[in-house]
Amino acid sequence: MTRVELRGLRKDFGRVTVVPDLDLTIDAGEFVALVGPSGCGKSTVLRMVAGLEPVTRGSITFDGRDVSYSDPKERNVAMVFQSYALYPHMTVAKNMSFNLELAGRTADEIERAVQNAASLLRLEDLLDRKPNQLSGGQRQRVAMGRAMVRNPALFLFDEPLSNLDAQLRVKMRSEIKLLHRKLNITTIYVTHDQIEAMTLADKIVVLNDGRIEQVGRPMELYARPANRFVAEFIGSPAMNMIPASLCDRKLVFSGGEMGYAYPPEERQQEVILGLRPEHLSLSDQPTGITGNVTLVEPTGAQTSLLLDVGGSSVVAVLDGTVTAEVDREVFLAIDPANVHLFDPRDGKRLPQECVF
Amino acid sequence: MTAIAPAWGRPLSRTGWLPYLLVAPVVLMLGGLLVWPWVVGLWTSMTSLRIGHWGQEQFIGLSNYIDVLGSHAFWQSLRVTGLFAVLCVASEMSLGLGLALLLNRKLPGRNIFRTLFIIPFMVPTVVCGLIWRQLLEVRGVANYLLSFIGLGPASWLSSSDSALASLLLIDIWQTTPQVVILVFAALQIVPKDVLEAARIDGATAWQTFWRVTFPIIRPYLVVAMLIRTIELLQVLDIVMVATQGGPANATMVLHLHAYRETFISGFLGYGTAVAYVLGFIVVLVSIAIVRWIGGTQSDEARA
Ligand SMILES: Nc1ncnc2c1ncn2[C@@H]1O[C@H](COP(=O)(O)OP(=O)(O)OP(=O)(O)O)[C@@H](O)[C@H]1O
Ligand SMILES: [Mg+2]
Repeated sequence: MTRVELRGLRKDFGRVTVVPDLDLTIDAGEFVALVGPSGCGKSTVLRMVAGLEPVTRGSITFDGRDVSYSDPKERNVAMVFQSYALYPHMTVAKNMSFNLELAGRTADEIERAVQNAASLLRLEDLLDRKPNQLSGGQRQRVAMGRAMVRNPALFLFDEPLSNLDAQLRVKMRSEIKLLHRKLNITTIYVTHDQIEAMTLADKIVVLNDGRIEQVGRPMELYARPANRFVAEFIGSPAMNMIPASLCDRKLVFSGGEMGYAYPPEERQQEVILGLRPEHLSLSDQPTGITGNVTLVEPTGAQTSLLLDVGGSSVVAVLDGTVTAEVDREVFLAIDPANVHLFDPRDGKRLPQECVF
Repeated sequence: MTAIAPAWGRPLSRTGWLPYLLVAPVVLMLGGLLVWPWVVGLWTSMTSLRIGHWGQEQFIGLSNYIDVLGSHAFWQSLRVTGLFAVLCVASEMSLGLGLALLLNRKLPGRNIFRTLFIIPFMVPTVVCGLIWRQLLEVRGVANYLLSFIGLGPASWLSSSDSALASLLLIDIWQTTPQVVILVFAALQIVPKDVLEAARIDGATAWQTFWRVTFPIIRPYLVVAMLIRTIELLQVLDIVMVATQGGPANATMVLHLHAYRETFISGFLGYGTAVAYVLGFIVVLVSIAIVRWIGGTQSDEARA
């Protein structure tokens, strides 16, 4: 169990600054998910922690020990690459034991560690195969096994599930979670799949353009996104963003209006109203939002409606028992407790308690 | 549907001879260009054919071959050829591997070096031989430069002690770039993330090379080695230009021996037999290389 601290971390590639200035603390045993859109610098941060990418400035410490300029070997981290990066000429068993062998462990120890990992990941029958004789999911498990046999200071995962099909991904997700619960090793997990991040992590770090947008527990990020970027990134389908204006104790938008108590200190003319699709519900009263149904998508347990609300589209996720017809006008009730307001100028969260 | 079925039948039955018709030109060409000359050569080697005595040859069976194997000159040539090939292959492979690894790193001026390395490779062998002959002459550049550090003039190519070593030097200079190019290309197929995985696993640069890079590029090294070995066992041009097999047959390689027996001495049948023995040796050595070195690939993984 290692506590990791990144202080003022910066990374330039030539004249391009990919990570300008990053501060992050990861507690011992914590599972941290690093999320963000493609190209935001997730892999770069992970590779700096691993020691594969030299840092331009700033420091990385493990349990207070500065490792900013140490070799990966001295850091004792285990990493699962997005592409798995298995040794093509070695068998599954060899792939997993390579580290232990280099560390000079005895044949007995190696044998035991490999058997252990193999049974946990159900790889026993594959130990003599070469990577090119394995399916994608099996390769992924070997890559995990290679990391697991080691008892490292830190686990680093770079989108390890992105090449798997949906079913296998769900299965591996729970295996990773169980593994973490069992070994309790500090983990940094890079993904751009926010569901993976929500389900796995103790703490989520949302990155955008190499900067941290918000750090928090999954439900915190979901319930109180610090800004529009996080609000749209966390949650699926994404939060509806509706332009609205404040006038005369009312929050007015093209599909309806809500009551609003002026906050004494701040007056804002234009705001963005954020509504999660799953927080909308059908109503027979013309309150909340009024819109025309353009698409009905039943998925079984839930049915999503696509509405046309005064020109902009709004998604609502409703109970599967709901029946709706295209081109009919419907009313959606809004729970004021689940309303988000954002400043359209800088995207920052505004206090929403005055909406009723 | 049933009406269409017979219509399919016809082209299907035609496939019986169509493939043969399509490959026939290639087969005939290969037959004409490879097999026929080979058969004629084999026949020649079993006759007493001599230049200037056309039409008087007799079929003498294997007696040319028996003479070859009983000839001191043949065994002497084979020793020279074997020694030359082994020394050349060993030094060119290790030097080529080392240089390719160096060129594969992010060093300043790497691109200039990459280009410079190809130049010797592009010089025709005969030109190369002539250049080096002038450099290594008794009154040549090499001796002139050596005189500055007080080393007396040596007769590099005309002394039986140093002639083979000089040829070795020339061949290394000329063909190491070929090995460098092959190995360099092989190094490009080693995935970058696999090398990074090795670093994460705690391998030193040395361990990464021998345990990861080398096994991955090994099949390509075998091919490079095979090409060089075959070329070196049959070496002729460079020896002919630089030393003509001398002095005192110290550089008389088998190919040159066969050439001299055939065209200088005029024993066409005997010379061809020497050439066929050489060809047989090349085939045997190639098989051995592929079997022993190429075949141990899978052992590495199990070891
Ligand atoms: N070696 C490099 N040289 C120059 N630019 C680089 C290099 N590696 C990454 N970058 C740039 O740094 C930025 C961040 O890259 P990074 O790989 O960290 O993104 P990411 O968040 O992992 O994206 P993805 O989700 O697509 O994997 C990108 O704009 C990329 O082009
Ligand atoms: Mg990435």
